[in-house]
Amino acid sequence: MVPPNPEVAAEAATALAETIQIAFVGTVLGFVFALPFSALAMRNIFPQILTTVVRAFFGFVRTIPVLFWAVFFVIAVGLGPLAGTLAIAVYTFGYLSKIYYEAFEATDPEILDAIRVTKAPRILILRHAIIPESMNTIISQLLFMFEYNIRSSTVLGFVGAGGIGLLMISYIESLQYSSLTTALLFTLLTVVAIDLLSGYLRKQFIPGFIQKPK
Amino acid sequence: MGTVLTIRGLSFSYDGRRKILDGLDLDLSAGETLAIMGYSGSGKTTLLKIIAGLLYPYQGTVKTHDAKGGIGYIPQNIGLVKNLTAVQNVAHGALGRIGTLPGLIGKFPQEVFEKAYQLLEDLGLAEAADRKAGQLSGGERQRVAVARALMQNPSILLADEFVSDLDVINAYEVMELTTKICRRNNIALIMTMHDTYLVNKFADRVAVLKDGKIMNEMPGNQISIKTLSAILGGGPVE
Ligand SMILES: Nc1ncnc2c1ncn2[C@@H]1O[C@H](COP(=O)(O)OP(=O)(O)OP(=O)(O)O)[C@@H](O)[C@H]1O
Ligand SMILES: [Mg+2]
Repeated sequence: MVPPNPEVAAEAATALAETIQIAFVGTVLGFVFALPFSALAMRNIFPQILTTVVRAFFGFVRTIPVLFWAVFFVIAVGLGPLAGTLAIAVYTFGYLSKIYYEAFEATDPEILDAIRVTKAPRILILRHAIIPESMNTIISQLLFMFEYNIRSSTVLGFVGAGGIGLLMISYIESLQYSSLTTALLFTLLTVVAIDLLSGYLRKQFIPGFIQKPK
Repeated sequence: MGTVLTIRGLSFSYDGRRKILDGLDLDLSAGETLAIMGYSGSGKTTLLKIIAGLLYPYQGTVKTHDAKGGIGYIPQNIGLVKNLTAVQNVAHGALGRIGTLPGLIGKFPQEVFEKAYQLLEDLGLAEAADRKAGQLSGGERQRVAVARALMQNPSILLADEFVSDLDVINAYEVMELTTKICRRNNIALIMTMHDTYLVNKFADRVAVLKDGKIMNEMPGNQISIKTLSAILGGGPVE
């Protein structure tokens, strides 16, 4: 396996870029759906019939591992990055929905009381009180999910859902182990870089972190 | 002066067994300032929540008359959105009247923000208007909560121990400003409180809550620790 094969660097970089795209677009898509849908699971806002059905649905989505979603979407839309993106999106949706409705429900009930008496529609209470109050959780979990998805989307290629995993499998099958090392090294560097980046973003967005005096 | 609130035979229980309120009667006139006193746990917060329409079901009747602007509510622990600025929190008082669509895209009418800044200024908070609520002191947050409730243009304002966490000077100031604004705008004010000095100073009338009922009512300036203790059946106080 040693030394890594420098000749496949360009190839590995391209595949890795695809993996990052899959993780990024998938995370954003999942987030965009998780935010409004998780609100429907709030027991202190919506009737129990609705919240029970919504929670059961989230539970179902969450039980299925991301690799199974990838296989499902490869069958549904064919081999390639679209299948990977959809798998990541669905998995992200299931995970974030639960985290978000729990954060939303933990909103100080007195905030809700003080605004309810204005006869404000529920959606405005969500928009102006519950979401801003949960902003720290919303952002930090979104960043966490992106880091996590970078890692899991490298594996998605194993089932044909695009990205660097596909390349790794082909190196393994053709016994090109030093090329595999190159791909692994690139992946490692990317994961570390993304972790550092999200750590930095977290400090920018989330108060309560001790910041160095300027 | 017309009556804005009539309560008759109000009973309430959280668990279906222990009655927190038990056949309570109460009337409130427009523009009047009423203090409600009573032991901790006697049901003051419960009563305010029922009047505000936040707690049900209950037995008996709670009727508001001609309360056009509705009922404003200042919760016991304030309830501000910490990540938003003081003035944004005050604007929340208008969420019931700006319409769903403008509200969703976050477009408050100019009038709302002008009024929000004005209210904060009236309450001596002009400086802090654009600071995050989470970074304000207890007294400043208390004033923001008052402004948010006034933003609603209420006919009745319910204030739950809204000065009990403040130092005496701040408590006096917030109390004075709030009662003054309410009198000027003919807003009936119900405040639950423990401090007999402030009741004497600022309440038109005081009602003492015990065993789920109003045990005694008197003009605000006649309450003292001694009379209160006698009504509540506490030990002798000299
Ligand atoms: N959500 C609840 N579920 C069950 N019991 C409750 C609930 N809220 C309050 N109680 C009980 O009802 C009684 C009255 O409570 P309430 O908060 O109205 O008292 P209070 O007069 O406002 O007291 P304080 O002066 O301490 O604020 C208390 O015995 C309390 O334990
Ligand atoms: Mg109370």
